[in-house]
Amino acid sequence: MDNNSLLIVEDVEKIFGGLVAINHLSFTIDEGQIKSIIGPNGAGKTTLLNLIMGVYSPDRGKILFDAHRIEKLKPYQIASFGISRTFQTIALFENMSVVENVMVGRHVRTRSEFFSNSFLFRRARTEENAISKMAWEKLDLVGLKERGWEPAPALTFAEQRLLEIARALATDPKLLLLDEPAAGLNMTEIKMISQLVQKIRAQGVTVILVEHQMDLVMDISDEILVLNYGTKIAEGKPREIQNNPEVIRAYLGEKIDIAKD
Amino acid sequence: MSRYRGVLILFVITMIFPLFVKSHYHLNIMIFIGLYTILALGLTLLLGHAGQVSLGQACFYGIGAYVSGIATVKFGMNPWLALPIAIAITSILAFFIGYSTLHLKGLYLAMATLGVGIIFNILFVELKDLTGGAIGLMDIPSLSIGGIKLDTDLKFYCFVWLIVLFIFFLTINLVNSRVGRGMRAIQGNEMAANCIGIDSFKYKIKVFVLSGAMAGLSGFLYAHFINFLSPSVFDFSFSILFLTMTIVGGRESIWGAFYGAALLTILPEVLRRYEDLNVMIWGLILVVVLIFFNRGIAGGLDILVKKLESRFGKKGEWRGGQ
Repeated sequence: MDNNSLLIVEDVEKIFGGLVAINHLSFTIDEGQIKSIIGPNGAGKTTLLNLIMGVYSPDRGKILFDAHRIEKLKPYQIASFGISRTFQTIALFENMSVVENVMVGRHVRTRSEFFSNSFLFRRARTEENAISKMAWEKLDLVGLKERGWEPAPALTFAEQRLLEIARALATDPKLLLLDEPAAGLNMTEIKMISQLVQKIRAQGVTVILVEHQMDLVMDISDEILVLNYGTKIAEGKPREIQNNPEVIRAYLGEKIDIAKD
Repeated sequence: MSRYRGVLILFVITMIFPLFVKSHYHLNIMIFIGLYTILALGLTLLLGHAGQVSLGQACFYGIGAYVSGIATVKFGMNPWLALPIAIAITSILAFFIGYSTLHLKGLYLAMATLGVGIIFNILFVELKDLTGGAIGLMDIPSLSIGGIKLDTDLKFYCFVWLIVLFIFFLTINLVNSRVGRGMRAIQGNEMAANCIGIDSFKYKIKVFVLSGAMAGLSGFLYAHFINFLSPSVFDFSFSILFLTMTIVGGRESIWGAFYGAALLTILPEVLRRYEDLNVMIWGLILVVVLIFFNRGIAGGLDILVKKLESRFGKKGEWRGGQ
């Protein structure tokens, strides 16, 4: 196991009732990689993200992030270490405007509290200005600058996905977890997401991408991890995965002759 | 500075009001609207912003009132010295109550806080040596500022409303800050809030303590205005009244606290002439308000303003919690 990896998942297991959702899973991610996690529905992809983010804690195994043990920590603690996520079913704050949704992402990197904010202490005002500036930059990055002062539910579905990414970026993550960012989007919108993810990586953020949209996955991933019934069945470069008979069997069932591209 | 426009308007209205209306009766109603606005504002932050319900606000109102009443009557303390003690004790109790109940959600939290409220009301009655029991605590001194005794309705009216306006100023700053957004995030989606680094449990406790302290402040003012305390003013029906004020006024808007407090204080007075019918009409008006404006009076006014603005082709900046 490479100790210089940003994230190390070691022999992790998660059981719900009698169902083994994640089964003795180990893998690593190096800094600056885009790693995709694919697999049929119910393979445990979202569960894995929830384990990394601390929404669930594993029944056994270790998760190391940036040399910290995080498997027992709560989501808000893990967020402060530098992991951030988007959600498969959109989870924006619908009671806030678009820009406020991004500003709230800055929470974990700022300090001012009840008293200094109520009485407008200079420290709180300086911090507020910095939060606002950063939020508009992130909105600019995802192309939502014009819509900043609208209520978040006024955005289209695709825009809401972009806003989730902007909010996640506002926490200054080292590792960004994207849970099916292209689900329900059309080809133009998927291309936009693809360019955005590459732009984010170019800024030095490591990305885990859970996605069903294979064109997107093959196009931008450095490495792919394939899960089936919570077990790793393959890991490697996109080209290797495409030709892996185990993967093809998991996706399409056995005894079918595949026409290779 | 546009965010303080509401405070300015309210300042002008409340300061002009006593020039035209001087009756003891009307000033009293306005003082109570002020006291209840402070209380409802705390509840607006808790319910409308952080998304947590409390049916125990009357108990914090009572604790603030009794602590200050007991400190001044039984221990001969100066009311201004009793104030920080009253707020501190209310906050500490709110902390322990919040710490033990805020892991509950929705109706369960409402039940737990209701229970706590009932327990404290029994304490107000039974701790006779301190509170005077059901007979009440008498001869609580009036407040005075720099030698000026706030013993007339007019003086106390001005004092209370200046405090209300200052609290509005502070609350506007708070809801437009990192802290305000943190609260609304918890109401909006607690899981997402946790995932972007908000410790929601800690936050809920802080807001709960703040709302308790605001109720305590309101209780302090009440005690030194009425100069007499009896447990019946702090029973659970008042907790329900305060919650109703917050919801009918519009829990998402801080101005909703004022609208709700005003409506629910004025309405019973206006309806008094209808005698037996008054409770029925009271209930009917509340139901109608909530059917037509499910975001309360503030939500209804918001829609009205938006309609007018779009007619004149204006497009405002939309923020949560305004």
